[in-house]
Amino acid sequence: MKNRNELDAIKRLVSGGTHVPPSIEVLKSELRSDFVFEPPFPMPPSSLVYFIVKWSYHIRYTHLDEFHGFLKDIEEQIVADVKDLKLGASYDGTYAELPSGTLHLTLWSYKTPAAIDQFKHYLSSKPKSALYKNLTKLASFIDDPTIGMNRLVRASALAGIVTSARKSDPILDIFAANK
Amino acid sequence: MFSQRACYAKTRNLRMRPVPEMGICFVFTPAKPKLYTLNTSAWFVLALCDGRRGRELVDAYAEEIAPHLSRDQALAEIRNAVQDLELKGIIARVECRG
Repeated sequence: MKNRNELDAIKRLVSGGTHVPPSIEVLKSELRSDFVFEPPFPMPPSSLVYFIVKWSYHIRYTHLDEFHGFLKDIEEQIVADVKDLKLGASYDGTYAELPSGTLHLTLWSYKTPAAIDQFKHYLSSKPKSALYKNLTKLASFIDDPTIGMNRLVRASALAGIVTSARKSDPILDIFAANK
Repeated sequence: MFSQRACYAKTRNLRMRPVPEMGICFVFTPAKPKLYTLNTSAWFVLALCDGRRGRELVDAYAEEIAPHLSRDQALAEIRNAVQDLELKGIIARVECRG
């Protein structure tokens, strides 16, 4: 230890709780950054939506007023048009993060994974619809190359599958096994 | 084999990353590249290894955990811990000073 204070701090830890004999364990490698798995199908029954898709992006400062004005005029129409399709898709709004106001989140939710494909199919087949045009206009404001698109999946649907999906690194595992 | 006469110190270039909020310390041994997790008691033994003799390690360890263990039990624990730390290259015997 670098100094007396650090040794004293460890002493307080040692004397502070239930005594446990010394143990020195090799740290097992466990990399989680690359674990990718698909949620199970069919999903567990629930009244909640299954997926939320989140776009996060910055709008140029000079375009903020125009973008917000567009949403003020058109957003309710987008909500209604998506709902009327009865595909299990929902436009849940576009939100500005305060205080700066340039970061925006657009949220979509889907009752089932299939609803995403069905919604996509609908839009592709109806390029002259008002919904298509409104979404095209909305998308035209987004010229942020760092746009994030994340899926939020209902956590209860992942019960029991995250642990089994853990990946380990084969090189680090060699060292861990070489005790 | 633990010796009460030998002196013990941390090995050169040992990297320590204490995590006091979890009561553990991570230790990396560059000479034999491995990462270890030490619980609080083992971390304490390691902290005591500053070149002192084995018998002084026992005294210091026994003094701190006296409410929990007898001196013989403390001796047994520190013998195992020091052997384990030495085997893993976390501590080494050094020349005694004085």
